[in-house]
Amino acid sequence: MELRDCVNDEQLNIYLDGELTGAEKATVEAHINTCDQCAARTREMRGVGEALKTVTMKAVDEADFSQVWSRVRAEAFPPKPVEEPRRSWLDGLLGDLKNAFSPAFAVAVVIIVAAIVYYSGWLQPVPTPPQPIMEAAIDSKAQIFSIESDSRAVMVLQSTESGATIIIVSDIGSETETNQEPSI
Amino acid sequence: MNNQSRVSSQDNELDDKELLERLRQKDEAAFETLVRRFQKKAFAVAYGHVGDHSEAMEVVHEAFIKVFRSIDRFRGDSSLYTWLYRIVVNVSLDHLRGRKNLPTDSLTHTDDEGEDSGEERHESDTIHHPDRILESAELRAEMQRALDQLSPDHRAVIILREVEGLSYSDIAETMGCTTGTVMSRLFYARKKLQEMLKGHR
Repeated sequence: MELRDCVNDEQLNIYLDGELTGAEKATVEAHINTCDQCAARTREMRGVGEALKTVTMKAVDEADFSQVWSRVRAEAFPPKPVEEPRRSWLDGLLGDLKNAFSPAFAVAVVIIVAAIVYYSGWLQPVPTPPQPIMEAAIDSKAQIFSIESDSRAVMVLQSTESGATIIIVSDIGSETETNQEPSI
Repeated sequence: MNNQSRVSSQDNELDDKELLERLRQKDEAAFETLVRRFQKKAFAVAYGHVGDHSEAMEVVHEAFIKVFRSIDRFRGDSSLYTWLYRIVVNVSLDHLRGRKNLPTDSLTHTDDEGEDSGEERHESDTIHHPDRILESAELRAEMQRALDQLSPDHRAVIILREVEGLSYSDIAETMGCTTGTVMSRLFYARKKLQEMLKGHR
């Protein structure tokens, strides 16, 4: 089929957009190939589209796409907070104590313990209780004359012909045996 | 099958159906595939609308986040890619509305510079040889200015057709209109751009 008249603008647009098919497309193409005026119009209209595409694709070429996915991911898939493994109550307590322990804390504990020990008197010398009088040490024949005692000493006197003899002096923390004659 | 689906299927082992299924499960790797597969196309559409690199990149980012948040509501009545294009177009239009009363910094009004250059460009030179348009930022800005003269709907159809190569039916699906409307918008947009670029000397 041959076109008597030139291709109208609507038809030319549809042809340029590739939406004409079959016989219709062939007819328009045949006319454009033989009509200088329609060929010029076709070039001009096609040039508009090509210019638009060229300008846009140049902008695409100049654009930096390296960060597009990382930006989208950061917003769409934010990193999840790291979950700590579950602990038993004992682990938790020990962990808390471990966390609470620090050099300053240790120094404070030592000072407090030392103060308690000092003021409680735990470190003072323990008084030795008075030693019991060893009856075995006394001559079985001796007769206990008297027992004198004050807060610090116990004295055992043995009565003899010459007078009293001190046989045992027991003092707190020490024991002395003597045969000294009494000074009185 | 539309052009975009066919191309993407060849580019990646993951076909669109499987990709969509994994996207619905919020699969991170699937989203990465989608972003890497579609980012340049999305940028081209966004740039055609806003005419500025950084703003177009912002549109792309927002569009992908919208896709992530609304993928559950995508029923699959249209193809995944026409749905993506629709989101990019809508986000681009939101940006344009946001700066409605602001000066367009992407445009450089360099009429004076053109006169100073002393070059006389005939209309046929400009239109028939797109490379010459890129010879200077002035002419590149002129294309953007011509696009800005179009309504958002006319701009969207001419970009989807000329830059992305979508068919009438895909454009109609993207824009939510009939193919007849697409044809008439394309006819008007192309004619208007032709006049604007002819006027540039």
